[in-house]
Amino acid sequence: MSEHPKDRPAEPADPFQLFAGGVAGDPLLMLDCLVEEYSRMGLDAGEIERLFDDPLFLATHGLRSLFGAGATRERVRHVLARCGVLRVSASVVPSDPFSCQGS
Amino acid sequence: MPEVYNWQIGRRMSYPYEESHPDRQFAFVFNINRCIACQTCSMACKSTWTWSRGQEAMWWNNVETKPYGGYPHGWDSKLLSMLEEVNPGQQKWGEQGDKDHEWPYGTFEGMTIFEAAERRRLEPQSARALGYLPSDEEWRAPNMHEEVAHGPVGRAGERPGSAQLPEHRVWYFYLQRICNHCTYPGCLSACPRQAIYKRAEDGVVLIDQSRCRGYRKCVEACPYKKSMYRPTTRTSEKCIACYPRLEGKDAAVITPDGAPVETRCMSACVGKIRMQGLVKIAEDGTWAREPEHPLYYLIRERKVALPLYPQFGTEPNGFYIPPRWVPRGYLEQMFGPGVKDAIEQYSCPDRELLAVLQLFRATQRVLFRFEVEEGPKVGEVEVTMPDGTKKTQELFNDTARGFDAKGTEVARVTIEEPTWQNPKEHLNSI
Repeated sequence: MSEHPKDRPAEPADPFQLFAGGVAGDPLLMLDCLVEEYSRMGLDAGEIERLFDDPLFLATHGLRSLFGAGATRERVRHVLARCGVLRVSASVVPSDPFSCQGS
Repeated sequence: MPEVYNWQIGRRMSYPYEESHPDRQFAFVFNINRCIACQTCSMACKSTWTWSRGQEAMWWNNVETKPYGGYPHGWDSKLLSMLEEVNPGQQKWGEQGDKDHEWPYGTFEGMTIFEAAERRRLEPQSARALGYLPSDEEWRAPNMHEEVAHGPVGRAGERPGSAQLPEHRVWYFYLQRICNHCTYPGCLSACPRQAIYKRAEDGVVLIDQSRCRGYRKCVEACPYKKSMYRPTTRTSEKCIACYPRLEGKDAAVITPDGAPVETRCMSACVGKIRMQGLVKIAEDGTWAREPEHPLYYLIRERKVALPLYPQFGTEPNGFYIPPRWVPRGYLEQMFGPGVKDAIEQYSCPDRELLAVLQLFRATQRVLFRFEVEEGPKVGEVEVTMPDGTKKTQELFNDTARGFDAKGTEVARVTIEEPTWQNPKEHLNSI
């Protein structure tokens, strides 16, 4: 019986071969930075945690899978405790029909 | 070949045509740190411009996951390898830039795609930029090998025909890409039909469909692979920077005064990571000094936004605020030597920079000028620096105001007192 295609080694020039180099990234630093970024956008703890809970957001949900739901939630709260949530109020000139900010 | 000045690599370089510059240049800044890869930008573009037959694999806007993904597959690592092969060990940046903004990232001492083409003596002789033509397979799956699927864990062979998917660590960042509308476009340099041109009014690079015969020289020469072939029409197509919106003539948008409106991908961005503009170009091709222009401020004045692979030599007009959690070496290869300064400034922005950052996506109109009104200090927060250390950032009740092409105020964003999220152990219990 011939070898199943999935078990054969990939062709050297196979365009579907995973094409990546190793980069020594720190997932915890990534998590901290993402939480800070979202807090700068005005998202509070509940809103940020929803990004981690939702499997459609693969980066944040991937970090939650890596660290565990409880540890991730704790980390989110920990980061927000020191950086706070940035609040901004947006007001556009009333006659401007192009506003994309919520009013 | 004639010589032209490229401010991003800090020197003159070979280019097939003499310098000729537009009055204003379409440019943009993407803040990588905030992208959640929702792909709303990709779909906004696709549903506007590339929904027809023959455009199935055509993504003028795409968001890819680095360092694993790319569209077409491995586009950047392939070209970097080709350049390294032509000029082994010499693709390096030299001394740092000067203070007067003429060459802010230093001098690139290696070879651009145009210089590498000269050295390699490409065949045919008309080839003017080092490049390659991606295969159909490389265009087929825009998000192949990107994030890992996080469903229930399974094993290869568990179900009939199932296979173990390749996996990588949960660590990456998203790279948003459209045509960079380069100052020295590789696509334009390579077209044997002279079908590609750069508009004098806004620097947008377009392909004249009536002249194009689909030789795909532009696809081969564009280092960013943003020129794409359409088999049904046998011509190549590319991002047009939504020029009807830039001209204020998009029938779907109310533009009573004809003020420029942002592109579809920019205006659809829910993460508010994008800002676009039309920067003024001086006669010598450098950016005219406009410190009150938000793009000039971010790119030339503060240098927090950097060009993508400036070493390719096309002087791209797309700029990125680099992600804070990515190792320096990788980012320097991608954005040049300005990375350290850019990330440090962005991680702990001063009051003016923080105010200008609030103008991202504050309006659909293209901003031409900003003002910051200072207010009292409202708090201090602790932020994470790129090396993992913490730094205190001061917050002020400042207001950023944005003005459109007509000088009308179209955005006003005020920073207010930050709210605090206390950890559970610090909550009061009554």
